[in-house]
Amino acid sequence: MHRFSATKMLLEHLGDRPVVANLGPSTDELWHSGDRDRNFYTYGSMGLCSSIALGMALSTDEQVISLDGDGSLLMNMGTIGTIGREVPSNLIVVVWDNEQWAQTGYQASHTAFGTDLEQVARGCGIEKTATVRDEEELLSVFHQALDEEGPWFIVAKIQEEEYLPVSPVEPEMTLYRFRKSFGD
Amino acid sequence: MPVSVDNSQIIYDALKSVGVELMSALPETWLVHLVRMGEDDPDMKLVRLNKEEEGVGVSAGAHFAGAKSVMLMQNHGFLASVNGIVSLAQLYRIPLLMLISYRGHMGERDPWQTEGGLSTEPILQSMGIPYHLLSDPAKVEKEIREAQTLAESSMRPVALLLTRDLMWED
Repeated sequence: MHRFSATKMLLEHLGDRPVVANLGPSTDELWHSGDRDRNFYTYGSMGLCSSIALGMALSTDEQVISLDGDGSLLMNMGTIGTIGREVPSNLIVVVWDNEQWAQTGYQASHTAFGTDLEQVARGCGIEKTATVRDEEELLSVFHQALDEEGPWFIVAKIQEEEYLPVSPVEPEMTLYRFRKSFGD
Repeated sequence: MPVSVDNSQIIYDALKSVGVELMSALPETWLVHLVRMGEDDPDMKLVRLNKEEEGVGVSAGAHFAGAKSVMLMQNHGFLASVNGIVSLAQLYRIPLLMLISYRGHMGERDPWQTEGGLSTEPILQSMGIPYHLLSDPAKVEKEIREAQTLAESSMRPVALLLTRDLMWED
């Protein structure tokens, strides 16, 4: 499974729901999949993608989707425990797991060895979890996540492909459009 | 425990009066009453963190959805949050109210707090974060209101350092 194609697929099915994307390719490919006001593109802030989505989920009744990455989440693994403690029913975390810090030169991450992020989530008390390896499986569990209360934690194993051009870096504009879509 | 309940209540009431709906925290002796007040308040969302930097993300997310929040932390927790403050709150212009217990300052007896105490203000200054020391309970309400006003108007982090004079009774 490739992240860009899978991101486009998820965008077709998630309706108007807000999405927070991890820095780097997850953000770039979300932008290329279809720029929308309810996409939040993170630049910098490595590790905080799912913490941001958690803060949102605790402050709105809408379902919130985090598109995180294995390397980033490994940096802030404690936040999985915080999600497990807060149990926000409207939070869906998808982790694009390429088992690498790919952007810096394809160095193997800990998920290429012993770390299984789905098991980490289960160990933190998150009950709705899955690991998927193709788009069909991903779509099936994603629909289940949209229909059933969470929190959901879905590890999507992916293969890296050539990077797309970097999306426009407009932090203040991103924030303005995103907040405005919540009516502020 | 000689942490001032009365002054913690004054701080808590001030946070409520500026509309704070969510607070994030780790256990910290000086903040013990404040955290309990959040826990006992059905209208406050208290998020317990594993590391303070998570709280920058949580506060950012709350801001996206239109909720006001505060981070409660010890100054060592502030030091642990620096990257999140710089590369999320400052980069994106997020109003971030931080209440920081000022350990390792005048009167500190614990040697392990002293280095963090020495670093706190210089690091706030180098990050360009406006800050103020809270020590007089009579002024706390006004100072918290003004800090929140500045955070919102500047769309930036603002810090209030909770001093021993305010938090400790001995």
